[in-house]
Amino acid sequence: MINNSTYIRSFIRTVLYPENEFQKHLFPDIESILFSHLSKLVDSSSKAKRIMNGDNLVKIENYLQKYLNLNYLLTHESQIVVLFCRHLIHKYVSFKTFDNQRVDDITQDIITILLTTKKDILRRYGKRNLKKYKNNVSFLSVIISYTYRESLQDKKYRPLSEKVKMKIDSKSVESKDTTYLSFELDEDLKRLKIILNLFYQNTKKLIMCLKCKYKIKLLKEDLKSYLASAPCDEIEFLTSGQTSSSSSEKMFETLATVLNRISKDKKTGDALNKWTSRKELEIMRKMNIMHNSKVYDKQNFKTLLEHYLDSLSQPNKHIIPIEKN
Amino acid sequence: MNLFKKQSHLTEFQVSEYLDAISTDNIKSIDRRIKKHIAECDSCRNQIIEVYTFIQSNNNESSQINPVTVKLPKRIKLSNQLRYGLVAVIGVIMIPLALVISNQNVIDSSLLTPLPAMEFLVNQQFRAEAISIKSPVNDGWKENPITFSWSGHATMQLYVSIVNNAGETILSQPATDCSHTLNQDLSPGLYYWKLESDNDLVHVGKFLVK
Repeated sequence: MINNSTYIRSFIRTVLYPENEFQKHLFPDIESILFSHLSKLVDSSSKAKRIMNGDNLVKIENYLQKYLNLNYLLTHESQIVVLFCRHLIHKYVSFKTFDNQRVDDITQDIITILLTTKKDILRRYGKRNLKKYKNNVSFLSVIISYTYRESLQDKKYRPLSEKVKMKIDSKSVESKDTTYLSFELDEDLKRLKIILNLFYQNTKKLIMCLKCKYKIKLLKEDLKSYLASAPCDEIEFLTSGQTSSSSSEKMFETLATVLNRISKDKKTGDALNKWTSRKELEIMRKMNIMHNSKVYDKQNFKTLLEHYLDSLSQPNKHIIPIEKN
Repeated sequence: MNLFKKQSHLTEFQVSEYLDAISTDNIKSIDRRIKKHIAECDSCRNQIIEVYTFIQSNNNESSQINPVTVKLPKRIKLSNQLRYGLVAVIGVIMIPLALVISNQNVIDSSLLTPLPAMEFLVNQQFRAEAISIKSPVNDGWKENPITFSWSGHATMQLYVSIVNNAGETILSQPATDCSHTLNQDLSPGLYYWKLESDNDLVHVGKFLVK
């Protein structure tokens, strides 16, 4: 028995594992699990028993900080972390798995793998300075996600993308319905920025290509890195504003010539067009995954892209610009 | 630095750092090689978007909780040891818990919840007033009337203020010498006390009232 139990429980939930990071719906029993673990520690040590039942709050808090903090638990008691993460694991599996009947089985597989082969990764993470991370749930979700993939490789479960695909199909919206965009525009601009940033050094090239594809006027600013090496007539053609009347093939051909000069590639306009189409599809697919519904077809995506480009020219209007590579 | 896993994909640490950078809008802080890999690897891009979407969906979710049943699948033959291990872990955790719950303290837990904004200040060193706190030093359970004492010479008038765990200053009284006893009883709960002058904070401590 611990005399200061109420205070200790509060300390666990507000200081060690605060609600803003360890949300109640993901970690509903974290406080009970950690308190029980503490009770076990107290039962096995007379010194701990003295501290926990004494009236020295500093000593009590120091003890809790030492033995119940995430670093320590990941390094020395990773089974406790796995135990209080089981709702998070279950949620992730439910989020990914097509076959609902398999959710419990896969959850258990992941727990088993985490308790055996992944212990070392948890321990290594526990040795890091976790205070520098904004949210440790990111790491826990990533390790669950990797473990989920591993468990799929071992067992013959249905591929993970099926559920997302099914949800998207069932919620599909008419391609002409752009009303959705007005509701979540800011949020979607942030999502688009995140996706575009994934392409790192190709981000600017991709934006130029998408502009060509959708016949949005290219600016000299877009071609800044290529101005020195490209003949004036090519730059003039690309930025002339005549793009709506220019053929897509010619635009891509000219753009490919300009890009090849810097990258030393020999890509044709057609290859560049196909590359753009693949990336365009990937972005739409990722946007729809993030929405969990098929909001984006080509028409809606074009509208979003126009808003995005608009926001780049007026940074305060929506979001800050993409990262400069 | 071992940048990638054997399968030439990002490690869990790298993906999680990238996700953290997204949430703090600080992609610039990420290693160039990692960003380059992500730009070229469909699988890692998918991984990032999937986990990001999962985290976002949780952030948006209401606090409705679905109970989880954890059971071992029958088909795992090798995990008998693990099965018993898991049952033992849960048993060891749940039995003391049940015992502890039956002996709960009577004070409402909301009155004992620490206030994060004050927690940062407790026992910090502040300005140059040569003050050393004598009581209460243990910040533990106290009974009314509560006395605060310190040693050293203060050049300015000092005040003792009491803040409850909701962040409300419930009283502030001038201290006449190096000791001050509260002239009113405090109800049970967690309190922070501040020793301050007109311009400066000298000390912050905390204590519990039975």
